[in-house]
Amino acid sequence: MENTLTVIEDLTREMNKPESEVISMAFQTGIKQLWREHILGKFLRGEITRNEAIESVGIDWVELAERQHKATMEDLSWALKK
Amino acid sequence: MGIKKMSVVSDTGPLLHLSEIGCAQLLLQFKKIYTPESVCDEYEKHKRTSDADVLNFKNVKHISVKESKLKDFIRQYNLGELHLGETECLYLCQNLSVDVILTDDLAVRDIASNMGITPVGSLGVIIKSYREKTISLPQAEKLIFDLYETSSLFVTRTIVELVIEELKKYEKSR
Repeated sequence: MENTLTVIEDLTREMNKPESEVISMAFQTGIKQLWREHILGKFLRGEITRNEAIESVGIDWVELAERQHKATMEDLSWALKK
Repeated sequence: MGIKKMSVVSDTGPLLHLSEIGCAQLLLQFKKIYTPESVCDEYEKHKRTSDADVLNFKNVKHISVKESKLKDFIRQYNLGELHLGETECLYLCQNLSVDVILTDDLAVRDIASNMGITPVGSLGVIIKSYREKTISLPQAEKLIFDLYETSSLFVTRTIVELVIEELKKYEKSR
């Protein structure tokens, strides 16, 4: 990704919003994404149930995580076998 | 089977993603990589780096697919939802009796599996390179993180962390 400051400048200009608002939005988006990753991580490690994960981040993300996980495990199994 | 004896068909994803993280040379380990013309066009259109000229690797072979044959194939397997490149790759796998397709597309993976073809993604290529000692565990870890942080492949951090955990377990058992 480009330099963070450059991206903030570009977004400020293109969204026509004050820099402080853009930074606030970026922070919120980042927190949301971190939370989602955290929940999906707990789900894939079996620390929370599927329903708990769905309740927290929604079924679309849970299904995508499941599909990615399945694909990854297939790749691992193919790559590590003799 | 070792990677050096393996012929595969590749769609655009792994060619792009591995180039983006500067490890396209890992693809040179395969005996042969068949790519349909549409994949070559797509790669040229979407590539974001000129680090490696993957399409000119000595083991990459471009193949044209006849439209009429492809139409029958799409009808037979009900593949109307897929992009041209992906469909041509599946056709080549079947037509050339190649049983591995390199793809990062989840839908293509499902269809390939149902057709008896083994799907392998960019992650798989990196892990196989580690398994065959072409790269070390730290190199593999770095490349896997780069896939998440640098490449245009959509993969969640959790998946990356889980893969690295598995590789560390494997390393201990080696």
